Amino acid sequence: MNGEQCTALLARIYMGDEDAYREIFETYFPGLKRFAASLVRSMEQGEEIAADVLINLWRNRSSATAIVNLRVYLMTAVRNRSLNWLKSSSGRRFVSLDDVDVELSLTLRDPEQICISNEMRRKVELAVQTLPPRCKLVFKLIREEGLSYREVAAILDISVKTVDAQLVAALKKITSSIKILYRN
Amino acid sequence: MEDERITQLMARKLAGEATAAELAELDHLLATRPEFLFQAELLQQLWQKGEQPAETGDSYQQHRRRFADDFDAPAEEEPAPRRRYRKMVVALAGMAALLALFAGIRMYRGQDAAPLASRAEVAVKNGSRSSLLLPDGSRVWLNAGSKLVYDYNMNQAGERLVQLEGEAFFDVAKKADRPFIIKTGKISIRVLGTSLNVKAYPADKITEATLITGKIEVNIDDKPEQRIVLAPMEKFVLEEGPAAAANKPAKNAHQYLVGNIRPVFEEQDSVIYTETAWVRNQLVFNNETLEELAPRLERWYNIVIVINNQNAKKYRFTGIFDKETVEQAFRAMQLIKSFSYAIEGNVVTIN
Repeated sequence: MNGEQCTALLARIYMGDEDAYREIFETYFPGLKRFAASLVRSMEQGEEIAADVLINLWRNRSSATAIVNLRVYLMTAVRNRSLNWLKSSSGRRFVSLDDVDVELSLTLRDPEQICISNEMRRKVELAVQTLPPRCKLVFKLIREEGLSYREVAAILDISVKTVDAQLVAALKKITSSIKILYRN
Repeated sequence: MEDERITQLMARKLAGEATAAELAELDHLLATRPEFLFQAELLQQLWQKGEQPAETGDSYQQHRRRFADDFDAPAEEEPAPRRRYRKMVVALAGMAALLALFAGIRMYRGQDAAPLASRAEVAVKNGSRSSLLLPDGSRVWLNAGSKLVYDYNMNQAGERLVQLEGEAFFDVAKKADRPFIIKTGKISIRVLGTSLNVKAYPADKITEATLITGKIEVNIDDKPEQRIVLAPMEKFVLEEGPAAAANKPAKNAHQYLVGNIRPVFEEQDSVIYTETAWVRNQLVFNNETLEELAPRLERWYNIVIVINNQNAKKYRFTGIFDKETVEQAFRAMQLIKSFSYAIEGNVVTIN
């Protein structure tokens, strides 16, 4: 969904058009759910958080037109809600993204589709699993959700430069894990 | 440092964040550091997403039921079902059309996905040369205007099969039980572990295989019963006879010969062979006519040569170019045989 389409939908939401809300829900719910679930490590809880964030958009529709980038807005809201939930469930007073044990299940294509061995696939998955939390999130948001550097920077509250560096770190780890395999 | 830069540029490219200048820089770096090509290809493949788990059921209706108080109309019994219904039909028709489109694309892609997925292709443009490491550890140098196709899974297969269009020097990793086979469209070469040069430009009349070390077996595709075994420093040349042009039976179409290669230049510690000098960035020619030389110069410098002077076609040249520019090369040739030429852009006209 491009910026203009988003602005048009937000304007319709502002007018109380439920069809517009439905369109937004259907576009963003799956991604928001996945993002929340990777932070709170529970699919049901992630689904709940994503649903809460979306219904709040509908409830506060009178200020919907003030939103500049809808996707970043929704993802940031999911991030905050997820951290809040982690805080309350762990009893800690402060939870930062760096403390979160991010879950990241890679949607890799079948080994036959991309012609890597199962062993190579396992190595890649392991390499990604052991990335530091922020690095994992950067990798996930860019690769799995197709977000831009700027959007990721806004959602994770880091600089664009850091996003760039974190993605490089992730790829380095992946390449070094497969390097061992193909140098026979 | 350069390694770091390559990864950085790869990351930006995959994320869709690379500028045109960065993409060009990456291409350039990969051309000079071909050992990264395999890695770059793999990352590109790994970046492609698989299927996301499909949404189950109608999540929006569930959502709406859950927050029913927030919506004016109740979820199930619609106050104006007809209007809504029509909208739904339109939406459904749209979705069906989209699905059909997707299915079409998937089916279309599905047909050639299997061979393509395991195939890697490396192509070198005219005017440049490149080298790469294959998954089995063999190293290949590719000359200008050449293409090599290989299989990612070559380590799993019984044979290591590659396809060559153009010229390449192979340093094949020894795997006694798994022959390395080079196919060119006219001949196939069976190798067990050796270094050799293969020249097979589709536009050329001549296909050549030159063995440097080891042992190879050459098969001519048209004459499957014939097997030619080469010894080190021997060269196999297949020439398209005049019969091939006249469309006579394939038997007479080709003639081949095997001979020894001799260095064109020999000093204490440097021996230069015409056949393999290009691997060290040298263009070497030995008593060749301008007509024979022209296609090589065209590929080497990425130029087009137009010969208007019929006598000049028969002029013979011997020489070595390495760092010479196009201008310097033609000036040098002009010193040997007198002819006039004009360079305009990438077209060289000989009068």
